Amino acid sequence: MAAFLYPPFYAYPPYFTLQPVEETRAKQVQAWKALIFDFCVHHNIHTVSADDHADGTVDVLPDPSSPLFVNAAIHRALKREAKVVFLDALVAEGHGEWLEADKHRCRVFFKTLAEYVSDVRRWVDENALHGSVYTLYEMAEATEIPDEWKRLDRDVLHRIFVACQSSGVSSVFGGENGEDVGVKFL
Amino acid sequence: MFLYKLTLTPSGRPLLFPGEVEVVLMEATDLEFPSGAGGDAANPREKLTAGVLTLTTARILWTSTSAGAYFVPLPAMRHHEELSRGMFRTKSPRVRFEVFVTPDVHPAVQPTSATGHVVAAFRGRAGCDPLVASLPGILAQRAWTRLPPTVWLTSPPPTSSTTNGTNAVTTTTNNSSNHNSSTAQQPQPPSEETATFFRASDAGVAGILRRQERDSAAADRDLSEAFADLNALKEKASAMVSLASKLKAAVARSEGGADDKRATEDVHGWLLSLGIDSPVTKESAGALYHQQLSRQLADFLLVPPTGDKSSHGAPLTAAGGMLSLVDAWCIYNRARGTALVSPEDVRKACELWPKLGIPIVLRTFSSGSLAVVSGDFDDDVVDAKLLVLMASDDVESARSTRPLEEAIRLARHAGGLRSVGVTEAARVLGTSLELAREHLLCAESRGWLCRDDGGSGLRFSYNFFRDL
Repeated sequence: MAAFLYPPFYAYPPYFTLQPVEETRAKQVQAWKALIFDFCVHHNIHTVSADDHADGTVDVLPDPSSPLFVNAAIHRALKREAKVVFLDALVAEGHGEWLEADKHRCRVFFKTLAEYVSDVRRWVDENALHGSVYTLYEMAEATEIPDEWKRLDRDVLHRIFVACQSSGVSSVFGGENGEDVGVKFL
Repeated sequence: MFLYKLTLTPSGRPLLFPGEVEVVLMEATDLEFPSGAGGDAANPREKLTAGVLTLTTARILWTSTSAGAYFVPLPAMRHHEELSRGMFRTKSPRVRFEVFVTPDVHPAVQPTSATGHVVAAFRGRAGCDPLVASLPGILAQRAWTRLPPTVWLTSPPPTSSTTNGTNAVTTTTNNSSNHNSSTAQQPQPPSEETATFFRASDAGVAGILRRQERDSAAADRDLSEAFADLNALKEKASAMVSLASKLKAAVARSEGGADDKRATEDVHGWLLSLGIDSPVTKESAGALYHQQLSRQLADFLLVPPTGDKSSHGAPLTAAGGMLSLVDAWCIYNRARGTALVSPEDVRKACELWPKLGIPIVLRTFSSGSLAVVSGDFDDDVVDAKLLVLMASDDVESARSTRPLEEAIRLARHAGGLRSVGVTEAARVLGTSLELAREHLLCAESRGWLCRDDGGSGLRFSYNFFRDL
């Protein structure tokens, strides 16, 4: 996999300080939001932690030498307050979701849930899969499942089908842990 | 004619002679002229109403916003009396002054025996009591005799007659004291002016040494008397001020040696802040206190001390147009000497500036700190300097004034990696750390800079976010 290309301003110390001036901060939030999203897509990361960690501050790091919220070369790291602001912006545009009410971890969606739901609806329609049942394990392995979904984390898949259920595309049943969960397309 | 036109400072306070001190201020005072029209020759008036009358050690001043500003010299005063207020004390208190009519603008030189009357009517609450109480003492002190005679002239005297003029003043002051039965008659001790005249014994090296010895003995005497007790200190205050100005002159002469230039500059700055001869006090200004204080503070901050040709100039100008309120208060109080003012009074005086139409404003920063800002202060100039500073560490280049657009271009061209702390900004802007910080924060809030709150304290860089 090609190395992730950080934007040039990643080397600027002020990039790591939450800017108090509204206009400047808007630009900063925009820049960070894009960076977090691109970083997660590139490394296929689905959960980002806003807590202060001694290490790279990202829960699942494929490569500790390429962190997200820290630039060791200029000795700068984002504080929790700033991370919450930037992830809030990601959540606001539908590409994220806080896992806890007090905002410790954020799930990152590569598409918005609405986009996923319409993708699933189209896929079910195109393949005439109405009434068929899959477990989440099968979703990750079966050949007819699009590659895009196979890359996804089980929890994210689960979350997508829960969203589908509420818009009447599928129903979800089974236990809480991923292996037992089944999906029936309607 | 008995009134002379009074010169005002830009903020509307009377321009006092060097060494002249305000004693009493009385508002709502009218001037009437029972023996014919008064006012100045160009514009005779029957009556002048609703002005502020000020008794100083040399003159009676009358100022009003509409009717102009005039003065009566105390040496021309022959007699004064309080007029009857009528059987039922229904009339406002009035004081009649009998004044020598002088044909010349130079009242001390040629008084004639002819006199005229000016009546001052006091419509304020205090009546005429403060004036009547202080006037005899002021007349007895004859402080005007210690003023240089040239102060009475509206234009400088012809050079050829300078010595004659000096002699004439000495004689006429003696004459007028003979005329004037109401003032105490004391033989005047030889003034310091006459003491410094050239004498044969002062000639040569020995003479110079003798003279220096005499001067230093006099200075020693002033110092030891001044610190004997506080009252003596107050009496000696003017002597201390003149000593300070002498020191200042000495410092000015010795300037040029590069090594001790800094030291002399420091001494210079300290001395410069000595020397408001007539501080506005609650006792002298009463109800007008804050207004007068406001005007004097504005004059102090904006108008360079008279006769001072050094680069220091007025405190506010020297500080680049902005001073923190605390600094302004300190400098002002140091200049006042003994009659100190409270921070609260200074703040109130500052808040009166817009009302009095004085071109200084009190600015409140977002952090809550206060600063005194002159009307022509331009934030863009400071922003431009800061931006240039973000572009390179060339301090000299950052100090020069340039248009904001050019500064932005320079900073953008240099990228945004260079950061600047408060200390460095203060050095380039020539301000205190507190103000430099405020300037940086202001530039940040205007979107030119962004902050870096890393391990080494708050630093600022060019706001590269603008260009994203």
